[in-house]
This record gives sequence, C-alpha cells and structure tokens, in this order.
Amino acid sequence: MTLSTTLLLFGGGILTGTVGAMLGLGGGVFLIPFLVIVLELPMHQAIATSILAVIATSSAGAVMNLERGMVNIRLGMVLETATVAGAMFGGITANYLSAETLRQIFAVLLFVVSGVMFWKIRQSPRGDVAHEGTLRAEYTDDATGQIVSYGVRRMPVIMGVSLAAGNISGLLGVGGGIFKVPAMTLLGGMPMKAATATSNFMIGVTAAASAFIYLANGHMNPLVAAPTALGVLCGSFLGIRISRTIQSKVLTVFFALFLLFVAVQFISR
Amino acid sequence: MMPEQPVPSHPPLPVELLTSRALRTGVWGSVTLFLAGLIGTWFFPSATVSPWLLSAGVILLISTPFLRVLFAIVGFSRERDRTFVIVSLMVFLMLLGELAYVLMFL
Repeated sequence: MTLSTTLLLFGGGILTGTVGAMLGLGGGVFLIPFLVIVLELPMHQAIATSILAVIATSSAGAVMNLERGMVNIRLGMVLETATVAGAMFGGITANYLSAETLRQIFAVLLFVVSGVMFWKIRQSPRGDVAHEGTLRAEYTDDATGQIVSYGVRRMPVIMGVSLAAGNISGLLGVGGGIFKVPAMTLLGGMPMKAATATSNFMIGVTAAASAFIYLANGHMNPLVAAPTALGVLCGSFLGIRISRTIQSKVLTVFFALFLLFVAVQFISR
Repeated sequence: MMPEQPVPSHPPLPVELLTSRALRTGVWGSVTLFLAGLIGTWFFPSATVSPWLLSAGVILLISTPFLRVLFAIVGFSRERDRTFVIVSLMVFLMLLGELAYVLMFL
C-alpha cells in the first residue's frame, strides 16, 4: 500500500466522519460506499474497517457524554443485551454471504436510511417527554440550564428495534443509531439529547460484538483500518463543531438524495 | 464568546466515571499505537515493530468496549446495584461468547 493510499483513507475518513456527525449518523453509511466505490476495497473489508471506525467514534463521544451525565447507562446496558446478540448473529452471517449479496443488502439499507432522513425532516421536535416509565434518569440541558427528568416507555418494542439495529450493525458495519434513536424518542418518550448520547454509548459495544469475527476472518487490515479510524475520529469532532453552527434542512435533503444516488450505484455495479 | 460548559445535574456516579476512564485510556492508547505504527511504516520501513504496533492498536480499540462493560460491572457493584451488575455481566458474557466462537471456529 502506498503513502498516497494511506492519506486517501485518512482524508476519506475525515470527510465521511464529518458528514456523519453533522447529520447525526455514525458515518458508516458514507464510509462504506467511499471504501467500496472510490478505493475499490472488497465489501467485507469495507465493513470491517467501518466497524473499527464506529468503535473509535462511539468510544470518544461516550467519554464526553458520560462525564456530562447525558448517558442513561442503565438503559444502555439493558438494550445492549439485545444489540450484542443481534450483532454477533449479523457478524457470523456476513461471513457466509457473498460480497455481491452484502452489497445488495447495503443498497436496501441506504434506501431505508435515506427515507428515514426525509421522514425526520418532516417531524417537528417532540416535546412530550415521558414522565412515567422505567429506568428513570435526568440530565442538565445545555441550552436552557434546566434539569430534564424522564422515564422510558414501551421497553419491549425498543428491545426489538435494538435487536434489529444490532443485527444490521454486525451484518453491514454501521452503528444503527438511525433506527434506535427514533425508537427511543418517539416510542420510548426519551428526550432527543439523552437518546442520542445513550445510542452513541451503545454502538461501540455493539460493533465490538462482531469486530473480532471480522478480524479473525482476515477482513480487518490494520494498514487500512488504522488511518481510516483516525480520519473518522478527527472528522466526527469536526462535524460536531460544525453542526453547532450549521443546522440546515437543505443539507439533510442533499445528503438523503446523495444516499439514494449511492444506493443506485451499489445496485448497478 | 465561548459556550459555557454544561453542569451535570448530579456529580458523575462511580459507574459513569469508571467507564469514561476506561474509554479515554482505550481511545488514546490506540490512537498513539496507530500513529506510531503508521509513522514507522512510512518513515522507518526497516523497523519490524510497525505492523505489530498497528495490530496492537486495532486489538486495543476493539477491546475498549469490553473494558467499558467490565468497568460498568465494577461501578454498579460499588453503587450496590445488584440488578445492573447482573445485566452488565450478561452483556460481558455475551461478548466473551463472541471471543469463544472466534477461538473455537475461526
């Protein structure tokens, strides 16, 4: 591998990590197409590389969120029993599927993620935080300075969504937060900030549940994974800073359309 | 003007402090190993330690979530929360199950 390829991996990591963090996604939905289409990496290797990047960004983000008291760690642990089981199954399954099949499943995921992005634009911010429910927690809202106290409703449904999200994570190397966060907020009645922080805390553990399987199968090349993970880590910090100043629906629409375009590319290859 | 740092509504609990420390150590450790390995690969090609440093960084980063769950078990036991010691233990055992699968079948 040449130095220029390493720099391209690092640069691609920064770019996809920035866009992912700006849109509140883990970045895997942008990173995997970059690795497969631009660098022509095999699908399994792209997924394995993305899994390592997901662990890096989740772990770094969770440090900040834990110290600020944003993570509902008890809820995270309960849901991890489902996501870890799903991810292990996904990781094992992926190694029996051909690259072609995985690429087609990934294209379907891109269509779904794009649809969720369009749907989220139409949703107004939810104010009906659940005051009843289990696994109660509280945090201080940065914007208002007020203490927000909440509980979690409909745990069995959220567990089911988490199992599916974990399975998608292990199979396709993405975080799965795009499915868990709406489940926690809309079904569980959690405030968005707590749901995002808890989901981010969880996805690293979920990704680790399939990472050793990809490593043992020889799909995780450290020369590829290391510069990419470093780039995504830098990009995610950059994206969080940018998203504090720019919050544009136009940007979300643009990237949702971009994902549709990438999905078509994946199918037509 | 710099945004004010948000004040947590409660001082971080043992479980939160312990898990964030585990994460910080894992992330910075693997970043250091990655940088050392990449610098070695490209600027000191005769150094045989570079691939080892990169692999060690990958294994440390994948192990960080394992540490996160392990430290959560310790934190919950310090808080005397038996239910969540058991829940965290379940997650940890499932992760160990992945390792066992890898060692036995791959």
